Amino acid sequence: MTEGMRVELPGEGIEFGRGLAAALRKAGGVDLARAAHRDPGSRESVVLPILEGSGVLELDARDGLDELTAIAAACRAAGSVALPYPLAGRLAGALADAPGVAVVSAEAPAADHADLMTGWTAITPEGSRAAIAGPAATRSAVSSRFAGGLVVGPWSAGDPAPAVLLMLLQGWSVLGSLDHALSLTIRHSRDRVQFGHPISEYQGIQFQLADAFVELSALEVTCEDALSAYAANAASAVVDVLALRVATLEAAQKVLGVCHQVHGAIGFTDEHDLSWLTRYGHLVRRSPLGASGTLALLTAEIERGGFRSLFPVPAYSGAANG
Amino acid sequence: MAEPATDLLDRILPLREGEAATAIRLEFRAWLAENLTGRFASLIGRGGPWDEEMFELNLEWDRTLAAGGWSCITWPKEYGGRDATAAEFFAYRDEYFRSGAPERVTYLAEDLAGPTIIQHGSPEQIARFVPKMLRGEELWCQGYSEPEAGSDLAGIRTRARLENGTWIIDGHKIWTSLAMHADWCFALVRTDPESTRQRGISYLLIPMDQPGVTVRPIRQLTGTAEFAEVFFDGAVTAEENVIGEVGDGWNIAMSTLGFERDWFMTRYFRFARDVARLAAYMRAVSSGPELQNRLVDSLVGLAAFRATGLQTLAARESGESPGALPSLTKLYASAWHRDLGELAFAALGADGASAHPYGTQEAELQRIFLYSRAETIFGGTNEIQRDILARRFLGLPRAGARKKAADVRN
Repeated sequence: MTEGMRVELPGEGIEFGRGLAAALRKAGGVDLARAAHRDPGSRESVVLPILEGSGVLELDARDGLDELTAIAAACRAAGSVALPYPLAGRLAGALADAPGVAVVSAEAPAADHADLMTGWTAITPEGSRAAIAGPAATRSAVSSRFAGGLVVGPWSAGDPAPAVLLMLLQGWSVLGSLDHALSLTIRHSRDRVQFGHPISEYQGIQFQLADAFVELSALEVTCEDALSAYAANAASAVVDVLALRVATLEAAQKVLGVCHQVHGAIGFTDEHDLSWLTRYGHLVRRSPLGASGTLALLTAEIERGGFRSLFPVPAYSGAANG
Repeated sequence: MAEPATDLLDRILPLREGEAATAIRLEFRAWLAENLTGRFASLIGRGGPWDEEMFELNLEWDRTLAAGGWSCITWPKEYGGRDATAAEFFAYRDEYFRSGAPERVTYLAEDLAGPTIIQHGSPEQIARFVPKMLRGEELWCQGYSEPEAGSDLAGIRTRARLENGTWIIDGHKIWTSLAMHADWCFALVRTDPESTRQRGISYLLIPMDQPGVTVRPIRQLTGTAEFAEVFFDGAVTAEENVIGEVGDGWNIAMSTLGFERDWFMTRYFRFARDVARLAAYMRAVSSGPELQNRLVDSLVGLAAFRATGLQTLAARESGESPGALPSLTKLYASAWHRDLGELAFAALGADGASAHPYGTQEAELQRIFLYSRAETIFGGTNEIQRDILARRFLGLPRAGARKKAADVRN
């Protein structure tokens, strides 16, 4: 993070994201995810044309803060409808000279929409990369029918930059899904009447929603800060992005926990949008690393290079007392 | 070679039991060894209400258990049970889960409808329904919740009117497990059209196979569809198919809730198996210290759950009220299981991100995660349990009570 005042993100970039969100809602919003579940081909025949039409696929993250903001805002918009297309991976591909990238663990490379990634590049957070030959053999579907293993070629060492960008954009995507999930939950709490009152009137419900709102707001700030840090100096932004990932995983657990609890049983059904938003995040929250793995990686990176946050944390010298 | 999961738990949380319980345990163990074989062996690690593919075989297994005298063992002997005590039932359940045998699909009859009819039904009703329940010849589903009446069960709107010796039912039930397979539904319906809330509700038994009943399965986040909506449009049932007095259904239903000890029994063994499975997996993949700490917390929670559960059973056996224990246990255990699910998913790491074939270790751990999310909602939400604990057991006032008192003073 740059020292001094927080950078205000360019309004045009944010506006671009809102425009895409509106276009996606007009095209059906979460119904796009439902349709893709029934007809996987619609991901390329229906969803991709909308993205192409918006111009988002022509944006390049290396072209400055304006474009980067627009890209991040677009990923947020995609998350808000649980968009059934790997938009973030596609947008990060330019940094790897590939049609798209997936950030994976070398031991078990996996991605959502693995079947759309033939020819893309798999990359670990450390930068090792391998060509994606295609999806691993089909397995029985659990939660997201498109999540699956990847068949990859031989690994070679490389620059982690594309992985860092993708993890940044994933944070924004999840932010979008949590934001919409909470909106749905607030609306539900007003509509749902039990014991003669909308449940939004019960303090126990209000407190839970307020807590979720705090988590979401904190995540939004963290997303913006990580983006600013990346725009200022992509090469040194890995710590900010890993910190964002940790924050994203924690926020997702808390916010979705509240959303599901307040929705009650209907929140798990296919008919309600919440369950699609939850499914959207299942893989990205586990792969390449879950919370503790990401925290371990973040710790290693801070020790290696320090962390310039509200106050500077120097790199670990190794000679200090244990 | 990794220690078998159940033995791991025995070492950490040993259980003392009496001779009678051990006798039943050994007898059942021998029976299982002989009978959970052949075709039924494919049910090991599978089955349960959500395993649609295995349903028919699962039902056949349940019937085999019954034929062998190993179903409904807590029922009175005169109705085909064994009058098993809580300790004997505990040992029986423990053996059942150790064997890997599948969750039962006849549980709604065994745990809920059967005991209710035995306690409140007429001799004719008992004769008509109970033997077939025991043998698994007729399957049951529970018609309680409605779209507008979840936590607020007293808000039900499904109604029934009596015409020429027949009840005619109109309405809509939801979250009805196994409705697509059930022969009968025990339902709470409003029989007094002028009534509101708990008054004027009756406990009706309704045959499912008739033109006036439509079942629509509900697909959910887990990918399974064991729940359904049930639509009653001019559905019929004979006048005598009401349990207890007309209009007294709420009280009957509340006494059914008293069979919560069986809820604990089922849940504890499932939870214990989940923990043991997770521990074995975490050993195999050498999970790090942070996850290990969380597993230890889970073991502590499991021991606490078992202790309170056994206390509840002991109270009921001696005729005492279990007091706050059922609500306390539900609240505690559901949060515990949800946390275990999160731990299971964390332990899976990147491997948990994609789908795994049914029956694999990974799929089992994913399943724990997906199903445990609903624990804090079904069977009385966390919010309801807290209300019960606060108002009924801590004597705290209802929200708005102070305002009312102030109005009275003025």
